[in-house]
Amino acid sequence: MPGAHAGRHQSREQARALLRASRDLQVHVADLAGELPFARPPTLAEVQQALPGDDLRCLRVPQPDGSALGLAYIETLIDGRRLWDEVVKPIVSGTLRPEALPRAQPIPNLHVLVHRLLLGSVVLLPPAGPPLALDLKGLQQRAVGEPTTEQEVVGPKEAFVENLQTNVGLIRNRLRDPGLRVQYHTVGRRSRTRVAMLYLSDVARPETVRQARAGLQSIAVDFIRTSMDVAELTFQHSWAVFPLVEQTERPDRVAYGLAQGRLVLVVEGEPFTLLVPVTFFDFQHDGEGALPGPAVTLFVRLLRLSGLFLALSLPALYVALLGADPLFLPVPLIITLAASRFAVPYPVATEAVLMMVVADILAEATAQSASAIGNALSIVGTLIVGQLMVQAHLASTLLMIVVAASLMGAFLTLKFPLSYALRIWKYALVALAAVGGLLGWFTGLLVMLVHLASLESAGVPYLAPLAAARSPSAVARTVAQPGRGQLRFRPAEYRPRQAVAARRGGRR
Amino acid sequence: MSAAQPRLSSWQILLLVFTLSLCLTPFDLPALLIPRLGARAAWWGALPALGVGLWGIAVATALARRAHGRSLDRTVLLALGPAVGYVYLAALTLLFLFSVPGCLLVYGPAAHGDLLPRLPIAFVAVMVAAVGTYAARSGPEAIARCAEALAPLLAAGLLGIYGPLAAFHLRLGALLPLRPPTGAQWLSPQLAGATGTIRGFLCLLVLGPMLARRPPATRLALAAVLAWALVVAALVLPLAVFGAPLVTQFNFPFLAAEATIGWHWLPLRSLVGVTLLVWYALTFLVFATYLWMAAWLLRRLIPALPRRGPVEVLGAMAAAVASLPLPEPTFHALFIAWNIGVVVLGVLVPTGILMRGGRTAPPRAPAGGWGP
Repeated sequence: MPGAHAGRHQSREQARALLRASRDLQVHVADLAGELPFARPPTLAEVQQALPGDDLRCLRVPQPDGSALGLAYIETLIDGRRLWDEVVKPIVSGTLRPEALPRAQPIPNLHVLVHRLLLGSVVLLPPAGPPLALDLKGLQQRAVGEPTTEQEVVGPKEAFVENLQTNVGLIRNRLRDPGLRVQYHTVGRRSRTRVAMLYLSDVARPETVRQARAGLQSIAVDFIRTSMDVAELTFQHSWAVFPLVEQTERPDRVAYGLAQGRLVLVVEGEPFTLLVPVTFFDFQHDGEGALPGPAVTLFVRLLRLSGLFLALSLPALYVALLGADPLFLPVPLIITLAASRFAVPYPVATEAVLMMVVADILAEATAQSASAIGNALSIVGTLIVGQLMVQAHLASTLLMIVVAASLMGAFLTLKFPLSYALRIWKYALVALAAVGGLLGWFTGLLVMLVHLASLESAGVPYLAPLAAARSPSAVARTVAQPGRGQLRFRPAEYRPRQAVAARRGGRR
Repeated sequence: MSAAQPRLSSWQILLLVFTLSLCLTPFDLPALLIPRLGARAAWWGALPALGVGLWGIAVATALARRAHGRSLDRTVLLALGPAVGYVYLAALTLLFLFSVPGCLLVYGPAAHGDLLPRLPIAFVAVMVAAVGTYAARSGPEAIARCAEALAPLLAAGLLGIYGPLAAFHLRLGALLPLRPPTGAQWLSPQLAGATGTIRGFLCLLVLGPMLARRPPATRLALAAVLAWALVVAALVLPLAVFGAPLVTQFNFPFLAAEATIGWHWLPLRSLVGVTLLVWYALTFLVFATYLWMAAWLLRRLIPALPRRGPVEVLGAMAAAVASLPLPEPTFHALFIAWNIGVVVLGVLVPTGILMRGGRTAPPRAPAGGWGP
């Protein structure tokens, strides 16, 4: 029986060692399940058998004592010069022993060994002792550059890149708070994409952190292509056309969001990070950091709200008022409008849908094309399609103005996913307006309102603070941003653990 | 969305109480009473309605406070016993079931006759029912959030439309002296039925125990009373002091009223469409709330029912019922019977439950307090 007891004790120790290794090596514990520690040091042949491939290099480096050190690495992932300078040269010359290599970490089993090779580590197989992993990742990376989709006239000019460590560093550089927690997860059974979860431990809502962690751990897909994959699998309702996470490429916006009590997910290989929770009105407040004072902010917000209304309702109102309920307009205006589409041979709704489809095709083609082609497409769309459609009496001049204003309103917000949602709902409103006139248009708005009211982002109502408001000041803040000195409290809609963010007046 | 126990804030419940009270009140009270009771004497009808409304609010609030998170059905069964309790709950369910198509029965013909003559009544009813069913399916939190989001529109509509209207009527009231009702008018069934017109407390009965924070009673009751005072003072009474010639024309159609009412520089014609849209939003909210409450009570009575099926079925049935032509006398008789039912089931029986006292005493508070 003492032998059985000792065996159980040994297996417990092994399990603990496994857990420790998983924590140290930032590998998901589930990936290690069933993997036992090496009974003896593995050979290069076993490594080759575990990860066959032409880019796997297995070398034997002679040591001064006559023994050979095994080296295994994927040549397309590591920095060859660093391998020569930091490993091979010192070991061959006898100035350094493998066990004394800085940053070398022991590898407990074959599973972790393969994982580290795929992450860009060099695996060292000494004649005695456990294998070691040394991070020498040397993939070429893009330098930190300017934002491409969230440009601001005044403000910081740096944007995230595809490297996870660089992105986390950019955030830490802007938020030097000891409470900032960084937790790594690995998602995707085959892509093994690393995701960093960041939050301020004393500010962020614990339920949001728990929900994000559980969501990341529950992901069970083979491949993670973009950060939206992570967002949809963790937070996004599949059928919601409105974005329930905020994507941003600006470190300053991420740091500000963290300070407000939000949570950030940084996905490896993706220059866009995810911010949760997000509300519908957050998308209207983009790029306000550099605006001088509350008056200008109020002006910009009112412009954006007007743009939102134009994007959603202008085509539908055109169809409702001209096609179904013209009596609501003054008589002179009715005559003018009727004259403008006198020669158009089909109903108002058909005309509107046709023009909207053409305009959306042009907008999408421009957005997805390179800048030179995009400019050419814009010219084609504006001069040729628009002008000729009016001349050919396929659409009225007024409708061209309506569709153009609607499209401009949709792009007034800097976030692409929201503009898609607005453009989709625009078609629904036009369809209802064609059937029910003004009442149909209003019914469509109510359906959209119910849809928005039923959505939640990481447990926070999507319509907050307008709905589910915790204080009247939060509602007022939706439209008018107070001066910087008055921003004492974090947004209540994120339900932060610490509500107060600054002293009164914002000064000592 | 629809969790087992929805959580609503005091402000959300207050808005729903206000909305359920406001819907149609400024229209049906003078429109129903004044032509029958005789011109300027009908303004008295608003007073008993206000009294019953305040009484209902007080009773529902006290019941919610005493229940301490226990749902209405459990409180009722505990206080009245299984037999009487189930009878009361069944009657209340029937009342709500009747209320669901009732909203459409009032709104549909008005919209059809005055604003949208080209649309069939069935179409209008189906549109409201579809949106309301979607909202009820999403749960009371979604309905309450819609009420919050629509509150600025409703406030703007009330101030913009009824403000000038009320001012005009107050001026008119100064010209036309008011008369108290005679004895025969006091006993008229219309006046008795009108006492149930202010009916927002019905939703407080069901939704009151779902308040996220406790104890809600004092602040909520005060806010509700103030809301009622606003409703009656700003809307019902000024509208009730119409002179007879105007009132008879205000009994729908809208377009006839707009030709008579308004200032020369602010004709009501340009605002009538907005009025009807504001009223449409109110009707949608009231429909959705009644529909959710009816389905909720139905599921409590018949636990075997699925969670989401009843909402869709009841919504479709309401649209079908509202699409049928209903003779005016039948509608008025049903309306009065429904109002009397509101007073009996929404005020008198809950008062009796409160007076029984001990059997509805609050349970001990849990260690972590009540709610978040």
